[in-house]
Amino acid sequence: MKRFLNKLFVFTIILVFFIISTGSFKYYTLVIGVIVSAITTYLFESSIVKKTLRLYDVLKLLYLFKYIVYFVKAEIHAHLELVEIILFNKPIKPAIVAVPYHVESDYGVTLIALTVTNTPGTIVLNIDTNSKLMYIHWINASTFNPDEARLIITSGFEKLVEKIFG
Amino acid sequence: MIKRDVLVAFSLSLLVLSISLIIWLEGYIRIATPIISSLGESYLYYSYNPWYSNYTSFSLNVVSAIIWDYRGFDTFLETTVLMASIIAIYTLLRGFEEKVFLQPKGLSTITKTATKIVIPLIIAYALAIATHGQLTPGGGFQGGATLAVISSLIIAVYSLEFLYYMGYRSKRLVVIRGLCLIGLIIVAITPLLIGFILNTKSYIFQNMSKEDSFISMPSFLFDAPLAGSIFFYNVFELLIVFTGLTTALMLLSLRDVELKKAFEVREVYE
Amino acid sequence: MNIVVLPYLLVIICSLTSTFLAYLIVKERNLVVAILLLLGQGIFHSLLYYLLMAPDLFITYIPVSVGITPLLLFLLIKKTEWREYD
Repeated sequence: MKRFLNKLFVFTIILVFFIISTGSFKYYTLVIGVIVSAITTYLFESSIVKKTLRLYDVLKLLYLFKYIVYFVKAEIHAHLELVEIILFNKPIKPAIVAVPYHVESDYGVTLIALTVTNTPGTIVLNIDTNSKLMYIHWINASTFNPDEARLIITSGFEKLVEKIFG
Repeated sequence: MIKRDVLVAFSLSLLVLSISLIIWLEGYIRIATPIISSLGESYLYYSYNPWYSNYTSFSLNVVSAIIWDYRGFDTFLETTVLMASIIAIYTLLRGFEEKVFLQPKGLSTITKTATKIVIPLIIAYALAIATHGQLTPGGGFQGGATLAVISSLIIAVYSLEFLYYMGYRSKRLVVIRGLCLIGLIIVAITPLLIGFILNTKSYIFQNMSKEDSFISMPSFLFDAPLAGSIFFYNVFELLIVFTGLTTALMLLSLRDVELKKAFEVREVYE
Repeated sequence: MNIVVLPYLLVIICSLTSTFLAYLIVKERNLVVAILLLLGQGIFHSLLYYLLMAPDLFITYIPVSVGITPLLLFLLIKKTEWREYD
């Protein structure tokens, strides 16, 4: 079967979700779950996972774990910075900066944008897919140069994301 | 929103609190009484009770048993009322035409990607609610409403154009809806037909065997109670509610170009 | 505090907050803000259904109040006006 691993991946996720949401592990649930997830996989598999998966893609889960650790570190750092601003009245310099990105896949862009928005102090306002620019609102803009801003805000995430989805 | 409004709203909620305290302290109502009325007790006792196979409906979810078995005709008419409301929208917008333009635009890549992941999970959850309607809380209407969230999400995130691209047309949806209503009727009159062929007594909307008629829908599938017709009713109701709500959403989000003829028709009638 | 009392306290808080929000929704002139407040009220109502032991209504009310009603009202505002005049 073409793209067998893709289909298996989507099928397993939907089946596990089905069983968790019903909360029962009977043959009845299993049979109906298999039918439902087969239909859903058939309908949505090509749009969800665009590139063909291979067996060694399992190793990318390790990078995902690394990403989570890196993300938590960045989150704590950003929180401390914001606490400093709130408690000790540190001067701020809010600005909207255009930051270029070099990730190809949709999932990579989404993950970076959501992470940047989730860390306090920076919010992604808009994404321009043609010129590959992210417009980020930054509470303490230390630079207006796009490449320097990229080094400070997104480059750490981008390296890991390229390894996961690239 | 000014300060005065907030104060008035706060005092209003305090008024509600004081009125309910007075009612409670004077003993006009009781909160969560342990006493159940005898009718409710009989429903709880018989809705899943294999030892009284003439009275039970083999449904662990008592609400499902009541709305589809004990008073199934009532629920069937409610479903047709939903159909009537869709027909009312059609009459209001008569003369509209669905035009497929160029490419769909929609919102940004981030929103689209996030929605893409969520959609299959919503489908799985909605079907889980509907097919387990006889076992856990939920049923056809709940599943259909959850499934209709998908079309609402697609219209909001990917635009109406994408729904056309996926093959949704309001006329097709109405046809599916009619077919599902016919399916409901067929399930309802199946025991009647079997009784007619076998020349025994049987009832319309009959689920399990009664005292004077032995005809019964399947009560178990594999290892879980299927509750006979309740399962089929739930599946058909899922499709009916989904197509109904999707038709309403699609018709109400039509663009000006598509509605041009409808307005012309209205002017002629005026 | 007795653990049995906790659901009733939550019921009281939810119902009072939804009354509070209802008044604000009626008074609000900006209709977009009014819809967002209505969304908040819908969440409190669905919590009330859950606390008063009606799980099937809870399951129905969440998609209807969070997914479908706001979209319909936003469509309505898009085709008419986004604010209310005297």
